[in-house]
Amino acid sequence: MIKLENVSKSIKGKTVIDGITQTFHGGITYGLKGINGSGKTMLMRLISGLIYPTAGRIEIRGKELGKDLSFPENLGLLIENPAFLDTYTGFDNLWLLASLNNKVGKTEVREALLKTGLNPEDRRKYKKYSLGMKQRLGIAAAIMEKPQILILDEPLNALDAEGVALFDKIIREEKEKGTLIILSCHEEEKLREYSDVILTMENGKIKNREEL
Amino acid sequence: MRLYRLIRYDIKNGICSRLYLYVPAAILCSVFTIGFYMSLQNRNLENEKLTIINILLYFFEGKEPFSPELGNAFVFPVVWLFIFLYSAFLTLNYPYSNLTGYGVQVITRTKSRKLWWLSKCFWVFLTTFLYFAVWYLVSLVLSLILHIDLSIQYSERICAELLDMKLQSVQAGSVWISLVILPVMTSVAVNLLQLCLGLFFDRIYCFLASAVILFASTYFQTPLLIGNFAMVKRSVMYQENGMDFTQGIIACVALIILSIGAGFWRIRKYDILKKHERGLQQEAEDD
Repeated sequence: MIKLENVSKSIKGKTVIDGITQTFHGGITYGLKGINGSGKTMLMRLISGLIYPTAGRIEIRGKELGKDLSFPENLGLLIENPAFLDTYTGFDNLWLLASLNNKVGKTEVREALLKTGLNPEDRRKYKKYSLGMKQRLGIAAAIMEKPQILILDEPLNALDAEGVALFDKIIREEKEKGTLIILSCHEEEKLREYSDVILTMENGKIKNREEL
Repeated sequence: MRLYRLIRYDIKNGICSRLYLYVPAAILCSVFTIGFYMSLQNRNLENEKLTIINILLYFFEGKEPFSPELGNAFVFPVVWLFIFLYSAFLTLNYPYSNLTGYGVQVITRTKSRKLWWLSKCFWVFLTTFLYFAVWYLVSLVLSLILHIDLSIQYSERICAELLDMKLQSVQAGSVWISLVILPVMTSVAVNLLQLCLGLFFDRIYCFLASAVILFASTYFQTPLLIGNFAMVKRSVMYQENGMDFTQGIIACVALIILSIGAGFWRIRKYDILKKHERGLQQEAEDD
């Protein structure tokens, strides 16, 4: 469970998140909706621990982010355009990341790649990947360690129809596992399809909460 | 264990994958060494016994105290400045590239900002040591090839005629401290200060700060400018009232501790944002 209590964030004097109070529960998918600049990415960065609130507090399973925790435990994250090491293959990139935590082995890394439609045996370097392949690798990195919290910022960017179908399947599986998912997506139809709750953001605030 | 894995990651990704950056240093070291060797011929000093210590004195001689009088032009010690500026350049980009793109994946997996910072400090130590190891190793190999003596002695005549340097009392310990320990420690201290400043300012300003410290050190003789401790011509080996070795070691250690400590304090609340998000001008377009 993630609990935001009156969370605000200002950057260089500008308020980007304004007094948000919201609880996120495991097993539920939250879709963030809002125009550009409404604060969706900043909210995801706050929950990921990449930035800390100027006011208010964020609790993750009773532990305060920035005080008891630097980053949430068991977090899967896709927050910027995915970026990996150019001279490594897709598998080697994920394996290097996986070796930082030692939570999963090569089998799980291969599984994650296969789930996104990438070939683990592909020897092409990352720099040779198409935009869609880069996005798939970003999704694979987010899910490979079987996270309990999954944060996905515009995961459908650059994905072709096959990629979207595979992503649909990934979301279904993660939901079945009870993963707490927070995602944003410019395609409203898709956002509604994935989400159990839609949070509409405006000027750094949650303007509306809609349960589907 | 996590720190060990992070350090292993930094060695693989921040050192092994960037070994090509040490090539210009090796080439320049060769050019400077061979140039110095050739200049013996031009000065009819072929019969003088050139030693590796003479070569290292040439690298780290720095600049004698400068008195700005009419007709006395300031000449920058190019070799000395290159050595230290390249070291600062070498440690400039990697740590902060680890806070965007792929780095976001790394830091969120470390689970601890403090460990991340510690691993980057350790990386700066390793990178600087390796960089200086390249300088010493290349000059050692060239010394072997050019039949330059490897003893701890040095030719006073070569020092006087080529480096305009007459050293005071020189003991083996002083040579080690002034030609190995203090240059490496000074460079580590400057690079760590630069790393720490990167948590407050843009990287380019941090490099400029390093450059200002080093350039100012060549101009002003003062213990407040740490570069002074890494110049033989500012040391007690060269001047009676020169920079004290112990004072130099203490200053370097103090700056290292201060930089690591300030970084620890800053990283706790540091916002990991893309560059344009810091300004927020383009946030609206990308959010």
